[in-house]
Amino acid sequence: MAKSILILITVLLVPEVLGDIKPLVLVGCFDGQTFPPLLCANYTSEMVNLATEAVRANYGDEIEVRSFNDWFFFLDAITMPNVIGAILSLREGLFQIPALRQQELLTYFERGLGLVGIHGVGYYPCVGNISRDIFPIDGNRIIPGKITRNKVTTSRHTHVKYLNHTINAQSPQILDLPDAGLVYKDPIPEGGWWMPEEGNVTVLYVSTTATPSGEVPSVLLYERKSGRSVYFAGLRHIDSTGRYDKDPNWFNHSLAIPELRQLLTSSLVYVLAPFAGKDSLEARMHESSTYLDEKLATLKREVQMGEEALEKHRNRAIINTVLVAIGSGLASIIVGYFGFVRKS
Amino acid sequence: MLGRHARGYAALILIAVLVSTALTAIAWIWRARTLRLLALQGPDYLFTAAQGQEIISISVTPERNLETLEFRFRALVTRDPLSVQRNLSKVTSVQQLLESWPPIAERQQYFSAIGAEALMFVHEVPVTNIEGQRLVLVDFGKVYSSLFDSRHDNESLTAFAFLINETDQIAGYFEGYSDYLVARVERGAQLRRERLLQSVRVQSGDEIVEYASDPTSDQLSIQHDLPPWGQIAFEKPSPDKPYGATLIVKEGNIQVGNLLVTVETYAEGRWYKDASGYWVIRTGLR
Repeated sequence: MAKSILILITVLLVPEVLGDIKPLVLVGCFDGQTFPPLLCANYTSEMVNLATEAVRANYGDEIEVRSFNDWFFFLDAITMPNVIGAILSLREGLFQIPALRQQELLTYFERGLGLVGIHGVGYYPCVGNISRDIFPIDGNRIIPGKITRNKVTTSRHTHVKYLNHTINAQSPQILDLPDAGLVYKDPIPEGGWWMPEEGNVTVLYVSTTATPSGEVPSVLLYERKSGRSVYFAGLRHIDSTGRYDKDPNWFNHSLAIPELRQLLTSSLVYVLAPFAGKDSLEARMHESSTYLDEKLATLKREVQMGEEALEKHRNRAIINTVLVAIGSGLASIIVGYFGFVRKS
Repeated sequence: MLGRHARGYAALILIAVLVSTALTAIAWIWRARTLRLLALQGPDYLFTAAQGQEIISISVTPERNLETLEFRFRALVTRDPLSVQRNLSKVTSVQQLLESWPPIAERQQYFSAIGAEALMFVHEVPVTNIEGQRLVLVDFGKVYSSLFDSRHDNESLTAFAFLINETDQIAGYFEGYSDYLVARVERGAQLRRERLLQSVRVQSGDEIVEYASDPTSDQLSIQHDLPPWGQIAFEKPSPDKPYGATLIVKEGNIQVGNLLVTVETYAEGRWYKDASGYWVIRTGLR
């Protein structure tokens, strides 16, 4: 007979607990060739290490860097109030992120999120308006690349510094990076690259080898309202399935390059800057606590109500039991008196 | 006049009657008097015919005054467990299983870490329509309904379930939504409740409210008006009156893999296992 268990985790929903909320930077590198997209564990782990070092060195230990395996939960968590930034990488797939998610990510980005996006997050067929409003490249084509392990990397792209900025100040003029694909907008507009109507785009690098018809932006910074993002059009990765499991270091083809690590690090540090300072963090965490406290108040009331109802029911039963016991006791005494004590 | 002995015997009998009556009364006072199940119905198959309809239904009546009564519907879709966790082994303990399952462990850990822990339910129950198999159902629906906009009810994964066979092996894995009925088709696209349900009837005592996918003037809309998060709640339901929900599913040949549809009844925050149903449903052509 199957047993039934109920594990009821009732948590103290008191504000003091909420005081322990830690600011979070999320890292998720997913392979969208299947649905739901699968986490590329090796690539993500490497990226978490990189981000942790960068955040610690620049903003201290207070900010936690972590990843989630589950695609859906990653999308849920990225809009939670204690999340201040994320590195999101996606290998494109034959699905599109729902409009609700696109719209929510934009809302939270504009409110203040620091994002680093890699590859597929700029590919319109897969992410929709995210590729226009957050990582604004409006990509609709991917220059495919092929990486053959133990032979040579057959896809390399040359990236040339386009504008000087804090982010690429320490990066070389030319970056030659191996990758498995680069996103761009096709056809390349004659009047200049596609730009969003809102916000400011700064092109940091252009790829000169991706297409024969001209150079295309390959690393760009976007600032829109309170949000900041840096987008890397290349760096497509795949290590979620297949033979790569047997060779967990294969993906290091690009992340092992110090210049790229430096560029990723400075990008993350820059996009987090408005939110990672001590004062901003405190204000944000206070806001998060208030938000969560309000949101959870209903649950708290419900839990209390259930407990109160149960207690009320139990108290009433105890009173009734006592009354019945007293009544029957008294009646028994009377019967006993007339039956055994009183002489007729 | 009765003799002294006869009087004593009569008194003894009377006292015995009084005591047994009192004990019966006390047992009656303390009985688990909350809900009586009136109807529980779910299908084995869905979407197997071009025309016709299938019914998912629950109805209960409170046996005493209650503060709240709630039906929680969950719609889960099948997923290959190996795509989530490659090292599947025999289920030795539920806790161990949940800790080793990233989508569940991550949510559990995260909601705890932000102090937003609330109610996470783990129920180990027999499958209503399959003999000998059981389910471990993990439901974060309440937490999500507190933290997220109601538009997430068919977007965020809030429920997870393992189908476990008699030898304690995982025979199936499902993940899904706090919604009445949802099916996932290729590439993550969904068939949502307004597409799958013809109508929903909610009975609240003497009152019946009907929701339809294409509502007439006296009906409400399944898409817009049906309570979100698959949760139909009644405040202070009257004793001895029926409360229930009936979903009428549109038929049509749709192959969407196995579904798991559950409805659980909660009164004053407590789960009533006997008034809950768990159906593993096959879809497409039989």
